[in-house]
Amino acid sequence: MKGTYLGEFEEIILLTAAVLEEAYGNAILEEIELRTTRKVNLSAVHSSLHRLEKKGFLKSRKGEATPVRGGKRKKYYAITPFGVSALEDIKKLREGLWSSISPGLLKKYNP
Amino acid sequence: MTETPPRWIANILSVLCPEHLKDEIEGDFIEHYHHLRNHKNKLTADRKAFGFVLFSAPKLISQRKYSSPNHLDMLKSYILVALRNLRKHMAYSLLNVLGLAISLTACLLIGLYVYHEFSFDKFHKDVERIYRVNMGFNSSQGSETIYLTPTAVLPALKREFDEVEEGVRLYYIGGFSAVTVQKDEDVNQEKQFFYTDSTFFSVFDFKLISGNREECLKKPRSMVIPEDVALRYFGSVDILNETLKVNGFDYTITGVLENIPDNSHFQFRFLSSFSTLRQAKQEIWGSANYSTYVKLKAGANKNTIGQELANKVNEQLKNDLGGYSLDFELVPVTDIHLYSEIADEMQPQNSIGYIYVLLIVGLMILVVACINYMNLATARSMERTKEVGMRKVVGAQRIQVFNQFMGESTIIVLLSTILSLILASLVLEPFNNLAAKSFTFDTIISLEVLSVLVLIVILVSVLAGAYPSVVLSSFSPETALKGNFQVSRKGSFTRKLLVIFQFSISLCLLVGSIVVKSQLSFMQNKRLGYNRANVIVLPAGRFVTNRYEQIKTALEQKAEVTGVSIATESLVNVGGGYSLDVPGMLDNSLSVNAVSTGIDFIKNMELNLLAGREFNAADLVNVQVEERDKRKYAFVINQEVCRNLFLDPLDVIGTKVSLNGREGEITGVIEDFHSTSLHRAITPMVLFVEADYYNALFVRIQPENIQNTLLALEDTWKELVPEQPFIFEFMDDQYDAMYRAEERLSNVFFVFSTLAVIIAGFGLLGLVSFSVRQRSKEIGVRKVLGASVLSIISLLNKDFAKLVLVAFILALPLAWWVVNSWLQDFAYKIELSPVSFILAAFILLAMAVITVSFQSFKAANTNPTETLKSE
Repeated sequence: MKGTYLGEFEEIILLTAAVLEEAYGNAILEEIELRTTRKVNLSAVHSSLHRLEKKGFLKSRKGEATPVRGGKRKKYYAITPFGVSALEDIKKLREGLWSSISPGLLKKYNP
Repeated sequence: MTETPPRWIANILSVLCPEHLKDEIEGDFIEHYHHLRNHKNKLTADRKAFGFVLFSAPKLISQRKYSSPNHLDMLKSYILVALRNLRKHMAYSLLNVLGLAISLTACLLIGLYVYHEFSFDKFHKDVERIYRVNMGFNSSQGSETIYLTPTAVLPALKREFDEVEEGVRLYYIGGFSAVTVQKDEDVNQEKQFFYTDSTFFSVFDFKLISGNREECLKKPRSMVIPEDVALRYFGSVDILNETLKVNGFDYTITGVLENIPDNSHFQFRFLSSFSTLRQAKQEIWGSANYSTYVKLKAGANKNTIGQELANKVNEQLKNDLGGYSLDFELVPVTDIHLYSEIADEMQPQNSIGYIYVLLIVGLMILVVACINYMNLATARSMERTKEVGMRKVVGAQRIQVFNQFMGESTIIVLLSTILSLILASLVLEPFNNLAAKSFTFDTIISLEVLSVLVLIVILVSVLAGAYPSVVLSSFSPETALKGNFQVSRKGSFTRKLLVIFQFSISLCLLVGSIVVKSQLSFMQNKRLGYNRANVIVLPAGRFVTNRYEQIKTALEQKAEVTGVSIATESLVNVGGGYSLDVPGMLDNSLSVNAVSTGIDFIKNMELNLLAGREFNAADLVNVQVEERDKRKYAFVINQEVCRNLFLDPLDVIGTKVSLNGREGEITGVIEDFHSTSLHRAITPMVLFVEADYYNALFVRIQPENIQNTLLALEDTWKELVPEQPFIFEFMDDQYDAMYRAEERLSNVFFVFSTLAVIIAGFGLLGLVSFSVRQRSKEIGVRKVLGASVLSIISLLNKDFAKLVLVAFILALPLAWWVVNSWLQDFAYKIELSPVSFILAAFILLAMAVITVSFQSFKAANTNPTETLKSE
């Protein structure tokens, strides 16, 4: 399904947005950097958020303005039911695949 | 203290970022920067901030389309509306676009023509320093200027004046009679044959492909030819030291030129060395057959040179000049083609007057098409009042509505321009024939033309679009939207005025066309005093002159030939100038035209003898006496000479006269005949017999079966004069050729007045159909009340017929003045009769009536229930 395809980075953004109570650009960025220790570009976060919103996985609302933002309002994102089902689909797919791997193989590399 | 990103990065982001994303993106950005500054140093933070802007830029720019409506969006909407309107009113749009395209095509072609005419001779290097020496004769009779000078002028100029850098003489032998050029079996009569000094290439810039610029014209019988002639005779350009036979002598090719540009005022196919001629070795003041060109040093004054030369020459020749004085004028070589006042140029040139006429005609046609646009646009404005009202209600300012309609006119003009380019390339071939040019498609799409076209597009858009745009943008929204908006009386008055103006222009062009055409046919059919019908003229060189008696006898034996004669030139356009001395009667000599003829010339040309006798064989014997001073000439004069002598034709017989030293007496008087174009009055004319040399052989043939006669003559000719091909001209054609300029003008007027009438017709068609639609209810009511179809048609016709009438009254004085001043150029001209004017008005009226009736017939036949059912 082309329209609902989720890239790896998008999946992480979507999951992070689901984890955080107040998910806006910077919060998501910091959360990901914290959990993955990988360097993330803010512009990449923005473009993914916009893309996910357009696809209907996320919805957004305007939040409050703070001085540290130069008086600009935050934009909070929240996951939609469609986003949840997409994540579940992926999870199911992965679990299916995991369960199909022979237990012997896993034990061999991961004792 | 919060750390803020560097201002310049923030500014870039602020410009890039669309309004609706500003909160999120800019806010996150500032916060992110602050966060970075808390953990990293300033440099890293700045780098990251800049990276952010850089990476976000493409996405942000592509998101800008969601920004609020701006000028670009309005423009898009304007174009959309304009195109929809064009499509919706296909017929109107077609009339508009087609009319404009036709007129633009006309203007484009005229522009090309004029541009080319103004480019004449400009290709020479330092052309502003190159002059031709014109010579003027002044006497008590008046003065005459010719482009020819004696051989001695150039050496005198070079000796006496330091300012003369270089000079060259041209002897256009082809102007007198054609030259026989032969390559093996290939024998041709060539007219464009010049002899010239070896300094030719130091004055003129014709490009040599091979040969030496300084040396190629030095040796006698050397010859330079252009590429096309080389290919014609040799099939190759690699022909140095090859030979061609010219009038029986071998000439060596010493150079090959690039093709002669067609914007050179003299066109040549052969250029031979002046040293070939025996005249070259002497400096003679006596006969003026050579055109002299000089290149002056920078800063030299041409007027003083001419003046001083005249003074010196008049002083030197005081005793030989008789009652004459000479003057010399240096004319810029670039002025020869358009500004020469010499009637008989070396080769036919144009005149600036015709260029102006053409420009004006082109402009008029453009104006007619612009008026069409104005009228149709304002007439249709009623349909667009609601649109304008709506636009204004939602906040459009007047200037915005104005711009919108200006834009629409630009679109129409742009479409027409594209169409006109296509049209121009389609009619290029016929236009080239009409104008005697060789433009190609490449000329049309050249950079100069296209850039001028862009200018025209702007100009015409403004010219045609400004008025309707002002009118349309002036509607006030409340009246416009109320529903029963009527186009104001003032608008329809302006429209009528424009139509009258349009009709006046068409009328002027039509009158011009009719008058030029009738003057042309007057000239072509004028009885000249001799009979030019059914005469063929052959060039008579050495071969013909030597064998004249034999040729005459052989040809006259044929039943198809009614007579043969010979002379120095054809009577169609006599150039030879002489001076006639009548001792005891005239103090000063009389300047006359004279032709030396064979003894049967008068009979053969069917000249009308009034007194005395024709030439006879004794006259010929008398001039062939060995000692020059014992020769006795017989002269036949025309009435004009008698008038100058204040003598009756009968009394003048036997008077002793001398023609340039030829002593003799007047033996006959002939009726005046036209010996040159009808631009000029009949001059004193003398015919005499002299067995010296001739240039033209005349064969009068039976008018029936000319094709067979010519074939039979050719066979005989080949036996008699094998050296010269049987190439001839009809005297009729020679005569008509003198009026090429008038013929061209007549064609041009015909084409363009037709165009103007057609375009005006387009406009009328649009206006009528509009007015019919506007009055559909009125027509319906009239029909219900019993009006006939005919009465309704005439009702609509009356309005437009009135306009034609007003236009006629307005255009009358202007048209009369223009054609009358044109006719002043002719010594013999048609009487300007009202018929031409009435005919023009009638043609226009007919066009108007047909157009109007065509539209109104439909309206008059509509069932009134159709138009009256809704209210």
